[in-house]
Amino acid sequence: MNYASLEFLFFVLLLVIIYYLLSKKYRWIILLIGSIIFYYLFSSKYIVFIIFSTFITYIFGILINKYKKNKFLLLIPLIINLMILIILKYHTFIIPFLNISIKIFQFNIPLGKLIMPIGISYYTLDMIGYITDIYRGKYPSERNYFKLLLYFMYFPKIVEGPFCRYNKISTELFKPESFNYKKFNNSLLLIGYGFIKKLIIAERLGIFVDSVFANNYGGILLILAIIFFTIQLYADFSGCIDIVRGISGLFGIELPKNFERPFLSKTIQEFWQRWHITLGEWLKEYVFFPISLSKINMKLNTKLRNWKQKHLSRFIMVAFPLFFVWFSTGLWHGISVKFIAYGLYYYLLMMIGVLLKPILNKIIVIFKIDVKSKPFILFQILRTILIVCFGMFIFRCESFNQMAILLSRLFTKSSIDILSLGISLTDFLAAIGTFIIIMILEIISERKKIDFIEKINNQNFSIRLGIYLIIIISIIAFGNLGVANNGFIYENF
Amino acid sequence: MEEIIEILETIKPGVDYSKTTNLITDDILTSFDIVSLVPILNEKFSVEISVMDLLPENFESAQAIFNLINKLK
Repeated sequence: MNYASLEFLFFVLLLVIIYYLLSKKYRWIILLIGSIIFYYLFSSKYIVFIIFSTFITYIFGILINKYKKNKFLLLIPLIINLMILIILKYHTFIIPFLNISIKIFQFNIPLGKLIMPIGISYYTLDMIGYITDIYRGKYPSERNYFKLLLYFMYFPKIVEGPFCRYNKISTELFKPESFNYKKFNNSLLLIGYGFIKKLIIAERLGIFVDSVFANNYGGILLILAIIFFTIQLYADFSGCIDIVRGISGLFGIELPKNFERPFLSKTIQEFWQRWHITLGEWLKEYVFFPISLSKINMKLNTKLRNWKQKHLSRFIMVAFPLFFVWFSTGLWHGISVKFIAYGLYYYLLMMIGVLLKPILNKIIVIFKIDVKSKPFILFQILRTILIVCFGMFIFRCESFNQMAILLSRLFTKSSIDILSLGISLTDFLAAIGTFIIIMILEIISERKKIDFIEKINNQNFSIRLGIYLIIIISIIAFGNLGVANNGFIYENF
Repeated sequence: MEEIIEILETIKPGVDYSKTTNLITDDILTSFDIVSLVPILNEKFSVEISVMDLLPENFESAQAIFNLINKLK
């Protein structure tokens, strides 16, 4: 059962009916039961890890609340939860590495078959955020273990996020409002929008992308595959987030946005403020700021401030903490050279951008470039998309070795027919056409500050019904409906 | 207060800091700017702004920064 399956939709329908039949006081309990069933179906016995980690977080949350500002009490749950994450997520790398290190003792640790519990990267980060917020005194600790368990295990967000802070979601989870017809309709539309992205765009283009990368094709096929993978990942991930935000909205619980029209970004920095927003905010809050204000960085700052090169000193100040942010971003996706390279690729680009900013500003003045003119903005957007596409290429390659092979074939001629790779012309047109429509809607939405979901729901019933029918018919006619078991790309992290 | 405005102008010039009250909400000050601003404020006013004080509301305006410093003194 995954978010794009019919079983899941029936499961949600059943929960929604029971949820609104119950008194407000007990509604969170049905969400907890639903979340436990959902998690168990996904991870079976591995559910013990989230139950255990929640217990540790719960106990230490209360202790931190009682013995204020005790760093020792903060470190224990952080270390335990991180150790569990490291062992379960990175054991395939760590154990062979340890075996090489202890080879001289003629001892070998068996690799075993550890399965990564679903959502571990998401709930562990939520736990770190929660316990750190309690330590910082942002809100009091939760006194009810089962309520905390629901916060970490809440089924719409457990598989792919978004990350959300406890104080932002707790009121809606535990003190629900009455049934809101408008919110309910908005949520249904959002689910439909997510399914369009997933089934018409992501699943169709994925067939082509998989084929090109599996066979190491070069030339135009590779260029198309890189562009299509960028579109696929956006449609898959943002589509999933639309579905989970929509599902959560059916219960009246608003999850934060994770995407804000990323392909309209003018810079890489802006792109990361619009793509996987909640991960970026998490890293800013719990990695960037603490390292920036750490004693080492402060000492460095004091020394650098006396420099005449103000810009350079500021650059170094930011470069130090940002390294950890981007290294963590890479590592969060997985412990492989390509993911580390993926993180450091953006780090390098961002640092070059910060370093060259005064020079670029001078160029703009010398050549009298109108930074607000449409051609210049278009140039900035296209430049950002190009950089992002290359980042996606690093992300999609299986290994560093494959990356090298494919790069060497990038400008070779390919004699293979594009339509021989498992995707028909109709599928292509449906996927690309739908993506273009979505991009047009995003551009209008950006320029006129319109929320299309709200706009549609403000129309009369017959127009709304028409739009609902168009969405359903489009999904049935053009969607790749046999993919329910494929899952979503980001659930692997 | 004037000192704070002067410092803000060295971090990001061209903003009317005496009137602007949405420095964070409108992305006038980014997280990079805040990280550059904090050590200067710490040294100039002999305070210790910690990560716990890095709340958007503490940096929305020159007045908010002034209030934060007074609170920490």
